Amino acid sequence: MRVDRILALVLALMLCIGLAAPAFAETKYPPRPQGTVADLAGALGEKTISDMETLNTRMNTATGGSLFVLTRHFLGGVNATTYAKKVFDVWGLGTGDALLLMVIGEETYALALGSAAEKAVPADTQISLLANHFRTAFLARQYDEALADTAVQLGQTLAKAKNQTLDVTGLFGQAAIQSTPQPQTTDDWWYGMFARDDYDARENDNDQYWKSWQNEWHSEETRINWRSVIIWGLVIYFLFFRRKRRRRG
Amino acid sequence: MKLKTGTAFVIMIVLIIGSVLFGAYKGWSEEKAHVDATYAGLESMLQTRVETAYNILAVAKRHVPETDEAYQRVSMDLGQLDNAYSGLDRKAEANDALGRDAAALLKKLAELDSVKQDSRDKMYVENYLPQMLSESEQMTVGATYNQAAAEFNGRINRTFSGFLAKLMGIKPAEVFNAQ
Repeated sequence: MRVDRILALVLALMLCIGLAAPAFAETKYPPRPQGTVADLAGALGEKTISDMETLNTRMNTATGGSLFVLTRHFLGGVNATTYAKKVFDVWGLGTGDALLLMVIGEETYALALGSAAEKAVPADTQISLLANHFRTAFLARQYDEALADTAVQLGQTLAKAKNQTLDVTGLFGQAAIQSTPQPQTTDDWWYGMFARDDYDARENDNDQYWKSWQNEWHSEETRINWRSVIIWGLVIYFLFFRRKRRRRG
Repeated sequence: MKLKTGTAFVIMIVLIIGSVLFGAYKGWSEEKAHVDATYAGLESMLQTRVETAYNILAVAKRHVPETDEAYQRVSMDLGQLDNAYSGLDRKAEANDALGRDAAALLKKLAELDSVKQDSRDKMYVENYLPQMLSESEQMTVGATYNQAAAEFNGRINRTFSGFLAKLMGIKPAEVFNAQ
């Protein structure tokens, strides 16, 4: 009896988890890039990306942190700061790291910093840094220039807080100016457009779950029919035939 | 105590009817729960429609005032679709309207000189946003919930146990009539 109850409880829990799974499927964010730049909107030049990697190597030596960059076309109504903070967490960035989010189609941006980096660059400094070194170029669609200027300034500020100097010689000197991102015709175009990346919506549409239940339906239907026939057969037998046999006897 | 045959027969009939009704209720409740479980998938797909609308409006407001009629229509459809308290029928209506209104707004934007002269926004208006609109629509139409709800309703309406279940208060699944 007790075993039956435990088994029933386990089955009930499994059913609850199974039913809840589609509702609690997590929204996925773009995966952390191999380097430090995820240019999903295709807005940055190759030279800028390459220089960002070099700058980050030097910055990491000087401060222990890096500046990560994510470009997207749109966020689908999600607040840029909220999104940047979430990506910062999802990518597992460190306390000395920073993440700059550039949303090209919405003309918005956000900077998210780890706790140690935030001490070195407090909120008011971040605002003035973005206003003086990023905003104008970004809105003028000089994305490489906006990023280069901001990255250098932020890197130097972080290094200064650690009594270090950041060597930026040879970097971003000839950044190719790209006034508009070119249309991407790859299969990944979705990636930079929808805030729910990785075909999350398709994954959430739990087709397999439904199909398996459909199969159960059909087998259950058959089973119920046979069960009904047997039960009704027994009822009729006990009601009529058994009594008749007794009378005969 | 010895029961009379008639009384025993009545008790047996009552028990049989009761068990049949209970079985129908239990079985169809369980099936309804499975249909409801696929609803999360439809919600996710509707979210791609919501995102598409936000993105279209983000580009549109650079070229038309927010009081523009075509802009307002998309904005209203978005409000309805993004409202957690809207019923499924209202969301279906808003979803259909969004398809029409967003396409009209994109067409209007494509004809504006300010868009024609802006290579980035021209790219969004002519390529990316129509593609988002079309893909999100296809996904919504193909959502498993639509199939699950239609099958459930078909079965509950054509079977005797379904008839009993409806008498016991099981309602047909809400249908999302995405066109």
